[in-house]
Amino acid sequence: MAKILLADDAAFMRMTIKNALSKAGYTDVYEAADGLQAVDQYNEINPDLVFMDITMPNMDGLEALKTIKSQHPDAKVIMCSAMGQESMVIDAVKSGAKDFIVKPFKPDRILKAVKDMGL
Amino acid sequence: MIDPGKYFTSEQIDMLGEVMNISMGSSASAASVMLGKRVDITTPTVKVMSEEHFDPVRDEYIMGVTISYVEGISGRNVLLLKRNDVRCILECMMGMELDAETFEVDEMGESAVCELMNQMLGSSSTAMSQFLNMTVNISTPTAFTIEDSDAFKKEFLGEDVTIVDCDFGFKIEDKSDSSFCILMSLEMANVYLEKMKNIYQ
Repeated sequence: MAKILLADDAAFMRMTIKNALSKAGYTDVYEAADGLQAVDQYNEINPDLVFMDITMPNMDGLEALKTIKSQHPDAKVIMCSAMGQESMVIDAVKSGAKDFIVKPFKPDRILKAVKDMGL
Repeated sequence: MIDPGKYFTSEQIDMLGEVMNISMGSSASAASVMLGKRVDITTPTVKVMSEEHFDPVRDEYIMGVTISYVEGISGRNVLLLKRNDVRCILECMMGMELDAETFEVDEMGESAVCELMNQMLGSSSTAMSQFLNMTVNISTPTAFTIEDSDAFKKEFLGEDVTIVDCDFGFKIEDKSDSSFCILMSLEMANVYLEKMKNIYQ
């Protein structure tokens, strides 16, 4: 069973994504409410995939992505953000993100991203 | 209400309406996806007023979110939603019916409405970024509920200040036909105008 970490400061978004994953059979899901928690959680549970929001308190998602990738070069991180500006997408991809999902999205988009990662 | 001509020319008022229209127009699509309903947001009416004449409780605003621009533009906006619109939004997002008289916004409800406004403003900043041809980044939005007008004004507007109030028509398909507002300082309005001036020069 794939382990998936959801990092988003909005509890509602974590619940929405978790429900979509759960309906598709992905039930080993962990949550982080900011970038710092995401880095800590990653080190603790070593997930197969991370969905990472960008605009979060304490440490933003791009910073968390860079930190995780520096410690775990093979980490699979997909960015999810309402900020779909080209410069941010480029920054995220250059920093090692595997995909960039612009909010709002439909649950199918999340599941496609999981499948694309071979999970 | 203050005569806007005291602070802005009619052309500047039009420009403010236009920049807000461009930025918030795209947020209707974002809201529509999240709510699963057609959402229409109209070109805003721009007013200038003293904070003492702004009474959010009287105007039925119960919830808002404040965002700061952290890159590209400097300043802060406050977006306010009315009670019945918050109820309709929660009904759509949580898939439940809420009693118009008795419903209250719990923690998950606040998170849901905050995320809606976050995604609307995120989409708005992307549109503004494309329009201004520069990166525009916003801070983590902070949601709040409004129970007391004076407390709200003290926290978010300041005392004895003049504010710019952009009122947008806000229609959620068959559920609501209402309005929301974005408040900003005169300084913030002038930042938008300066950026607009650079575009059209």
